[in-house]
Amino acid sequence: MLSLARYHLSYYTRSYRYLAPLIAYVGFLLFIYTISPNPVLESFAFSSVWLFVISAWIVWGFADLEPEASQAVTASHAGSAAAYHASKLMLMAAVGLLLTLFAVLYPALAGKLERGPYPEEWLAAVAVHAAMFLLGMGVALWFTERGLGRSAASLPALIGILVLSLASGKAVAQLPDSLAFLRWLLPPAGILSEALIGLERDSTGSALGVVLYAVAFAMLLCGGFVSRAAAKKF
Amino acid sequence: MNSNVILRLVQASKSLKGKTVLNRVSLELSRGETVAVTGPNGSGKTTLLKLLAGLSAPSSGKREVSGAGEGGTLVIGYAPDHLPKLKFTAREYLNHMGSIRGLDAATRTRRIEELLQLVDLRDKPGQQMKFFSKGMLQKVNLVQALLGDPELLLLDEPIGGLDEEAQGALASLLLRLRQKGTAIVVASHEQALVDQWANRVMTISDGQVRSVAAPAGLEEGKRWRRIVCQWPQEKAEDAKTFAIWPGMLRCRTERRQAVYWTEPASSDALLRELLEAGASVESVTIGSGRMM
Repeated sequence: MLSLARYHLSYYTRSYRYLAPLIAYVGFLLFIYTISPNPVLESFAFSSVWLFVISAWIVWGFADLEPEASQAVTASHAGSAAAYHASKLMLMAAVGLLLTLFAVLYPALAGKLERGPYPEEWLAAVAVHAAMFLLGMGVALWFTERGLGRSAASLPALIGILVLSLASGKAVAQLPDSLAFLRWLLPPAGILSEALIGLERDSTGSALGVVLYAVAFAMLLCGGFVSRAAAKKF
Repeated sequence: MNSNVILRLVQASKSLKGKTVLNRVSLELSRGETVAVTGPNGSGKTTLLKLLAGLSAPSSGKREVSGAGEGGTLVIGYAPDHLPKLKFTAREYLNHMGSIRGLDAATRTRRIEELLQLVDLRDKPGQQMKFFSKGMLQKVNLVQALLGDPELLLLDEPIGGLDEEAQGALASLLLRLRQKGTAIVVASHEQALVDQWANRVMTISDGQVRSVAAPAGLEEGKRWRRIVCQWPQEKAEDAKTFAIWPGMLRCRTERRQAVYWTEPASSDALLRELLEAGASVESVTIGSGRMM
């Protein structure tokens, strides 16, 4: 699995596909933090939403990067289509962790926040950013070739789902009870960022519950993708 | 059952986007044999190779691995009809593939250098594969397929872009591998080369096996029995399943009629099996040499 991830990383870095989302991510956060001081939780909530969008961008650009003929060769050496796809997700998750650390550490250590975060705020910020990355990854995977297939509608559909996911908390609150089940169908990105902002007001336990729910949702999306892609093979 | 059999496709079909690409194909592969698959473009050769490699799952039917080696899994080398132009040098790419396969660094380096020397790849130091010619890419493609010392080697149009010298080297390499016990399946358009390499030639078109025969060169002087039979309408498809019968030299099916050429030693058993399966035998002919 590590050899596969190393190969994917080499392939990805040589493609320069990472450059645009990385510049957008780092550049926008640096720009936002040119004005300081900033409120702690609101700032982390904002950067986590940005990470959600960026993760979808990164994964959408990475998932189908290797040409199909060479994918089949790589998978034949790995001996398993599932290992091939799972290793890609593993690499992306590692990238997500680095982006998470940047979003949390940079403003705190560079004095861009109005005060130093409390221990539970550090933890919540890391957990929410990581969960946001996984959610963005899980959503984007389904709009790639090995997910539902790529077409001219894939990108607009992905953007639509990202927007709906971010509006999930507020949008669902306004729906009648009969449609409340939609809460469970939309990726809970909006709910997650609201939970981070509400950390001062609500108990840490409720924020933890939302994070676990979001991670489970992301795992379901990613696991479903790997299982579908592995069954579809090449 | 032949104990040398390592892989078997039984009535395997594959549909892609609602279209049947392969229809009820049966094939047995034994150690040390080379099977050539011929047919026009789009006939299903590549899909058949992917099914054999386990890179594609049959929509119906079965793929059975029956003769795995020491590690408990069958070591398969697969070379697609082309390798894309990648941003790696040949050695970087092959190192990655070897590492993914689980070869340790020393074995990888030794094996890669041996194989690159064998195919005579003349790349410049640091030259990435995106600057390679078609023939150079094909050489890297062959090397990656051979890296793991496969028990089953699957080659899709392996001579595309190769010069005559490299084709000769490939032919002698395949012969050596066959003598070592490697089963080889080659999908190719080149009938003359296929005749040189293969023990059996399988012709497919529109996803169906049209015939399985010994190549022309092997027919000379060989003794055979020809069995002509009629199948009931509802069992016409069963006729093709006998194409993989041990000792079968060639078979041809058309509507309800089937003609089988078999080695003399296998003919009695085949006759019994055909009758039991519901076929009506019309004639049995003894012959040698060219199978008519």
